[in-house]
Amino acid sequence: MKDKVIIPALVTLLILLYVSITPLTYGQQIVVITVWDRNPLMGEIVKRFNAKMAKEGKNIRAKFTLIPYAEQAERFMTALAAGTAPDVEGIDLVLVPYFASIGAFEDITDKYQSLPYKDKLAKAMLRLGIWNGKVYALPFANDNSALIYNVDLFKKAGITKPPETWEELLEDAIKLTNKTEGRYGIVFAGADPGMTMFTWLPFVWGAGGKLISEDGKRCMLCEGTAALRALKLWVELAKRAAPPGCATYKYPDYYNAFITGKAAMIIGGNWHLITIPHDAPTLNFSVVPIPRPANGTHSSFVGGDLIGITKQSKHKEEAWEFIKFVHSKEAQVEVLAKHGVIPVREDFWSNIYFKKDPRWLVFTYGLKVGRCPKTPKYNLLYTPMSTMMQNALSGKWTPEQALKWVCEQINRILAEP
Amino acid sequence: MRESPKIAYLFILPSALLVSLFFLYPLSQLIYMSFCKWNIIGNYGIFIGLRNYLEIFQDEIFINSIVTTTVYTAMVVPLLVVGALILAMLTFKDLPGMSIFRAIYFSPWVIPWLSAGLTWLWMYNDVYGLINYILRTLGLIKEPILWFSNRWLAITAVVIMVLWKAAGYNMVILMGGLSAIPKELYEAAEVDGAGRFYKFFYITLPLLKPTIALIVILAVAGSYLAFDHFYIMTHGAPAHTTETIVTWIYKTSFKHFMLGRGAAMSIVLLLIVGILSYVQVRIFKVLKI
Repeated sequence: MKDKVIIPALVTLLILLYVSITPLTYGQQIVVITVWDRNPLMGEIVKRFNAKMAKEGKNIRAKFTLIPYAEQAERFMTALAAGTAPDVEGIDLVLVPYFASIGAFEDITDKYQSLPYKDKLAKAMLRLGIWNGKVYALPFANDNSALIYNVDLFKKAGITKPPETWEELLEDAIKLTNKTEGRYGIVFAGADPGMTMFTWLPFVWGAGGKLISEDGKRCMLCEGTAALRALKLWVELAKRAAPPGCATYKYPDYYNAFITGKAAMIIGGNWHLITIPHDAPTLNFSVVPIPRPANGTHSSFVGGDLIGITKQSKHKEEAWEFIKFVHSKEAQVEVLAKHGVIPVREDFWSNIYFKKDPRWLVFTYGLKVGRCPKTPKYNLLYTPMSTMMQNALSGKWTPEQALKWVCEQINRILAEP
Repeated sequence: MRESPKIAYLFILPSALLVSLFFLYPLSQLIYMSFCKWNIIGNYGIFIGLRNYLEIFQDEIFINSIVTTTVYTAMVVPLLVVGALILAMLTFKDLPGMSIFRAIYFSPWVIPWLSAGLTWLWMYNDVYGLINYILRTLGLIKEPILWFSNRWLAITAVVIMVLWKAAGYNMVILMGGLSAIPKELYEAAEVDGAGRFYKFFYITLPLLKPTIALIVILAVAGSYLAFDHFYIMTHGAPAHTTETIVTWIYKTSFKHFMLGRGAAMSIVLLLIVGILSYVQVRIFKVLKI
């Protein structure tokens, strides 16, 4: 009789013990990797990754920290110095050459080579993740530039199709300008160095020019006439068809001029397809590639984020698992494309979201034909570039003077050890 | 009965520890960093002597930033004191509804600098800005004023915004000073036949001096540390001539990754603010405030 009580009691006790201990050991086995990025959509990707890991019974979880756009460099830098860098760092691609050059990222060349879709990753972005022949970071999300125009203002001015060439751009911009009514054809953000790079360099590239040489040692703006022609076009536009203060416009000035209908065109990015309907729901706008010179090609500034595993990470394999998920259809299409970010895999460009609105295809085309300057000194180029642009657009310097000055400055910066 | 001084030391120990930990230790690190080329990975410095200091004084934008910050301070501090004094005098009297005015004048202070900067940036715009619109409608100008196309005009634009934002805050401090002035003094002066002018210059102003001194010291130090409003409103425009010392330190350290050079600039700023504060305290002492 006693046994009949003791045995079930013991069994129950054992089960209870097992149940109470299991979560403990389970908890110990879970590896939590930390992920930093400036794009809030990464949070959604992390959520989906965790759900997938839980479903597959894998003991990996990711934890996301959103880094404010303006703080991404200093947050990563201070974390590296303190030895508290995240496992996975997603960062503006222009900053990657610097961080790769100081050894912040783990060499993932072999891992990259093993990817079945490695040839589908956007080449213009991947280029920025390669340093001294080794791969340190891979594309995560893309932004690029195009011409955004106010359809209603075009109609009102009797313009039937958006500009394809520089000549048409200038002609249309002048037609759209009515200074007494305070309406202008186009607007620039002259005092925003990031926007100067993002919106002006495609004109230089389209005309066959370059910012810096392939080896990153020389400024190329003064070689050939591409940059000079591109700058002359902008100066002409600023003088005849842009708000008088645009040489010193910051991003809000430029953006507000467009959404209030005071300027009919901007060189903008894919994010504008999301922000403009939000900020100006009645504005009827569309997108075309940035106009090209008569004998030139279309171009675009390929921006966005690369993603890499930091050298300080203690969970490199788990971090790699996460990066592979970032390249999955679930992340690239269901999260990024759905919310207006261009997928970094060519094979995802044709997706249900982009098929619904052909304006997105302008940006997948932009990613195909666009470029991005690669140098660890990219941030140092901001000051001379924005000084050059402001002085040229305001008419203080001639385009020739401005380019000569900026080339001297950039060459001096590139020559410094 | 005198307490042993040892106990006194014990009482200041906690604050001394905090000051050492959060001020003296970082300061010593900063000084060390300013003599180094700093390596981020590994967090160590390579000693390079005075090179950072020599380089920053060849940096045209840094020199310009000292001029800009000084001009800004010289403009904003006197205007702020006078503006706050006028507001305090206007709203000090306990008339019905006066508290509403006080609240209105104070309210800009609770708006974040970022939002205030963006709002004013919008208002200053040459095409859709309210200020140019009003000036044009009144027929005061024909062409819009390009507030940020000229260095001194750009600084003025920021000064106007700061006055709007901070005058109310300083008004409140001054009202504290005003309420401490005994009413009997005014009554006695009135008996002697003193008018408003005499009461202001011979009673109010002399007795407000300590409060004004406090405002001046705080405003000078605060103005030399100006960052947000310039960062948002001018972004250095035109052509990096309106960088303040702190915006340029920030860009040098965290955008250009030159921590050593940024540290050297910070030490220079510390010296400027330190010397200015010392001089002000001395002046106020001589003036017996």
